[in-house]
Amino acid sequence: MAQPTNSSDTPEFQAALVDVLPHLRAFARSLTRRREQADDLVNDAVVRALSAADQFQPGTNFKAWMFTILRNLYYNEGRKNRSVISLDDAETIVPSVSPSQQAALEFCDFRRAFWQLGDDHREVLILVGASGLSYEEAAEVCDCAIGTIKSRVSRARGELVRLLSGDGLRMTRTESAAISGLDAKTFLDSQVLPKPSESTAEGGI
Amino acid sequence: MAENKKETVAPDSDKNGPDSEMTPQYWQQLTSGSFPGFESPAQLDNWFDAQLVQIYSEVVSEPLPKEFLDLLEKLREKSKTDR
Repeated sequence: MAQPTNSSDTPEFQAALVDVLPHLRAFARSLTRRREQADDLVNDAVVRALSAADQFQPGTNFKAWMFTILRNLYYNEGRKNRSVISLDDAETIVPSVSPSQQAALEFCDFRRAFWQLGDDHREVLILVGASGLSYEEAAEVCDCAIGTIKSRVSRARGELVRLLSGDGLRMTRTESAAISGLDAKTFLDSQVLPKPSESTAEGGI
Repeated sequence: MAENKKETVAPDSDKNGPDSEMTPQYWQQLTSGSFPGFESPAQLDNWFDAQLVQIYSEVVSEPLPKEFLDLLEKLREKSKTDR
């Protein structure tokens, strides 16, 4: 990733912004659970970052700085209240299970469980488990102590275990796929039985 | 639920790996429940992280929407005119 300066007019700052955009979209999606709302949030975060570029400290983690701006926008401007999602729709697709599809279906169920988690849990799991931030950087983004982050991660994983172990999954596979940005065709394609030559593949859809 | 999880290793799992000095509460919950296939807390944590990376990567790998491409183009133009 490009190392930005603290001036929005420099190519370095703009290059860093371009690099971080996909990550901002992923973090925003995990917060809002809605593609359009997430992209609006990213847009606003970019505008805010450009106007506050002189507050960035060169040499520190630009991605964490941008995540902090985005998160503050999300929590400070009432966006949180708009991220209500219906979990009542009937499940429309129930794929049959073969052993070779086990990993794909596990991921589908994991995704359902993930999107059912509360904001705090989704946020901390993505920051620490997926975005590449350290516990310390995640604590800075969330403006809390490292111990708090560790506790939240542990509770979030516990909630995932609870959801995946029992009958707590209320969200359908299609709903969870839609939140993750998969359209119906992509999702259906992911459920197709693999060709014989692929039957030993593991680890994803 | 899950079988053969040994092959699933999340990127950066060492950096933010589980606190191996203690057994997390959710592991106790797991071993007393019906979520089989994991032999240790670390294996479960690695599986969780791999799934999270997959969720995150789905969005990261999406093409940028036009509004962002327009925004970036404006940035480039502004940068040129400022110089």
